[in-house]
Amino acid sequence: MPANKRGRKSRPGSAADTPAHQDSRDGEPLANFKTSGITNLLSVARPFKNSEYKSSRRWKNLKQVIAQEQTGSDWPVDFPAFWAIDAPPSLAPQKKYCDITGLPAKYTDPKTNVRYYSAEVYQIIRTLPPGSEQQYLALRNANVMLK
Amino acid sequence: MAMAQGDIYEIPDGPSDPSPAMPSFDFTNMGQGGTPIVIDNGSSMCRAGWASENNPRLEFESVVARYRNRKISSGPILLVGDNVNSDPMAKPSIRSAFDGGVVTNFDAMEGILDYVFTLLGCVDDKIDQPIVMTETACTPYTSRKNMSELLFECYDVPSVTYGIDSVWSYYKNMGSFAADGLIFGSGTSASHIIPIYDSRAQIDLCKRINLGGLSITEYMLKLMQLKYPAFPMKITEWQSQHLIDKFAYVAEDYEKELSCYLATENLQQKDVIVQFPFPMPSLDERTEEEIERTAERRREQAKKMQEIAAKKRQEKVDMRAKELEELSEIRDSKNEMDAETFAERLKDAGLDDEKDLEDAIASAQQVVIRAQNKELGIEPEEKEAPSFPLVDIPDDELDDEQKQEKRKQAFLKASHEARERARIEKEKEKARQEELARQDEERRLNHFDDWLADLKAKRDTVIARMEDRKAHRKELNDRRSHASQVRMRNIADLAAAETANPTGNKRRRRGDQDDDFGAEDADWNIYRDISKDDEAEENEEDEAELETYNKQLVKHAPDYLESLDRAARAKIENTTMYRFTDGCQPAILEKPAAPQKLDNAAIVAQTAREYQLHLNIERIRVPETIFRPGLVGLDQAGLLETIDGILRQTSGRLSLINNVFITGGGFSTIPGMLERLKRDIQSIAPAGTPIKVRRATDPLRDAWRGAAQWCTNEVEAFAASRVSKQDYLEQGGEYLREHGASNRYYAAPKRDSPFPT
Repeated sequence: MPANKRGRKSRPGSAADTPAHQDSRDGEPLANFKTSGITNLLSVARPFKNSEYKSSRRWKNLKQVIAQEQTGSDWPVDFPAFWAIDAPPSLAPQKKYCDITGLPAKYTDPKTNVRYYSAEVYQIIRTLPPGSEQQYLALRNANVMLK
Repeated sequence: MAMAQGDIYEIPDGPSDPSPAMPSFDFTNMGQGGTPIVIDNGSSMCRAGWASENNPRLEFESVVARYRNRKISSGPILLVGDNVNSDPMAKPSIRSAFDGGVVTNFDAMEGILDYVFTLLGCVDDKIDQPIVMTETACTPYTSRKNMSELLFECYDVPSVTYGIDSVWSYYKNMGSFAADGLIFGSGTSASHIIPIYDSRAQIDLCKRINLGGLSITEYMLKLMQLKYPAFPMKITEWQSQHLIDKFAYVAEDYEKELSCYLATENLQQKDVIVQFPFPMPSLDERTEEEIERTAERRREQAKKMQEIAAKKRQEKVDMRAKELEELSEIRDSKNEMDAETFAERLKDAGLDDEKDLEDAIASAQQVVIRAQNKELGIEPEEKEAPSFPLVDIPDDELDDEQKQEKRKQAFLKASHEARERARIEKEKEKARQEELARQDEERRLNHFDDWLADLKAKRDTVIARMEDRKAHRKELNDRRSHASQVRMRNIADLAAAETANPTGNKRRRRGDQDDDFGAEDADWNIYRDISKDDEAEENEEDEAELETYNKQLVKHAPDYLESLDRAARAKIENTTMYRFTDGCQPAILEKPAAPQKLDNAAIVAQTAREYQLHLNIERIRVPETIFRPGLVGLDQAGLLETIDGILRQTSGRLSLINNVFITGGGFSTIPGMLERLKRDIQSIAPAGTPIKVRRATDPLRDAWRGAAQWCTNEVEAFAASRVSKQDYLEQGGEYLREHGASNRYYAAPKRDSPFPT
């Protein structure tokens, strides 16, 4: 997704499309800059910016950044890289809780896989509108994803 | 946090002041002499200011909106921070620079830095102050590289120092890195556990649990939406966050607290009622007196109407009387004139002949007499039984005309007798009913208890019948149910009987050739059984019957229906689900047995209840996720297990757990966190180990303050930590000079990728 609007060519004859960095040294003095109301930062003088600076970056999400970095360089095994410091999966036995109420769950509905606390909660599961059991499962990432 | 029972918390729509005032600008003395600019670049809040000051000058939501709005400006518009909320048009364009706690969108970052430097009053043609900036633990190199590129090339800063926010918060609270400790830094998108020893953050041992303020806000929101699927309001993320801030707490012993959460006493204490704004229901605001007055007025009106009607009736009667007079006069005049003139006169009066005249006189007379009788209160006398003299005379004694008359009389007699029979039958039935009522009344007076028991039983029977019908209807909706199958079989049988060929061999084979269907009335019920139309009629009958029973009960056993309702309510109130969704409030019955009369206050309360949420188990269920990430389906060790793992890796440095430090805006501000963490750590530490858990003085701002103090106090370390422009150019953008609060740097050799990027 080319989110870099700065690098965009301005349409001929369209003053409005002048790249923002070019006018960053002009604009109103700071005194006029209000902090409440609609305050366009682009209309304020920002003399500290390098007008030559043009970024050629492409916007990447974290997943892409990580994937690229992970394979792009040789990392020592014990180097604390971003992807390496994730807490490991839990080894402790996982207690099960009712998906509806959050109370301890003794049972699992074989039809929907929803965990439940008591027969009474089970009655509720039976009357759930279709699809909402998936929403309950999605709470703990156990929903069925249709691809 | 603690609320008395029955208190209702009214939730606001959003922050009370959506755009807090910015500090005033007096920068003339700032920025001179290279005072560092400190930026705590958090993923939800950005804080920035001068290192020489105690507090950040700027504190704003870390978002930008780049969009167009022709009404305001011909060119593009850039709003940053809380300004994004000032124009509704900007809403779809609001972006964060962060993805999962890491800066990835550097266009947005540039907007944020522009905002910071502008508001800090930088007016030179470059930023001439060292930058001190926080970054997340183990920031990806790409992110740091882009950040350095932006800082050095766009703003031409002299140097930049990167450090970890929670570690600087630790510095602020401890005064140095000399003391060993364990940081639990919990942000918006993730929480980190970082051990401190040997006077620096041991990033190699750092662990991250991918849960933060955002994840619990979302969790709370989803829980509420699922708990109240028909809630009439949209619950916003802000409100969800607000509920967490206000009411969530960490259970000291989750299992134990959970097991008794819905018990009455506990629930009364811990159930929170959250009231959303609701529209006022339209009410009858009149007082009793006013209602009485209105009724009086209505009665008077009815009386007036009756009078008018009577007057009209009288007028009609008078008219007929006058008519009668005229007609009589015509009749009387017959003798005074010849036939021709008389006929002429009849014609003038609209009459055909003399017979017509007689009929008109008779009908007018009848009307007038009836009216007179009514006025005098005389009942119309019983018509004497008509006689039918010809019926009993044999035919041969009559002539033709008489025979015809006899036939007519026979017919009239038959119908008259039938009417009489029906009347007598009706009277008998009425007498029987009266007798029954009398017996009932007698029984009530003499054997009240039996009578009452019977009445209750009868009422129960009607209710049971209605329930059965309802259940049956419900079952019919399911094609596979027994009721549906029976119905289908009946239809098939009936159809087979109708289409069986005239020889009936199909039936003969089964041996019941003589079809006696219809011999008994009950046979026809089969058609009612297979009909799927709603049994509104039967239901109505039953409702009416129930109503009479209820009326009697209200009259003679006033408490009985109330007690039934109480029992029904208690039954509902004691269910887990009701307690979960409605707390300790009295249940509202769908069909209360006792007659209800709602006053205005009750109507308002009922509407208000539709706009209420109950927060109970969620109060501990939501924060518990950091201890059991499995609750939200995250396959990671919980906080305690992670701490345990880190302790093992440090070969049992117990000094760490004597100084557990929690900071950040995610989980660390939730009440009960310190106690729970201490209790949990106790369970894994050797007996007698000193354990201390403390919270940052200001978990939100101490990271900024720590960074500012650190670069002011630790002059040498600060000087050594500054990545200069030359470093940037020579070593690359990801380059980092390590210090006590920093990440690790390792010049990772580039791998020759088979896929050129």
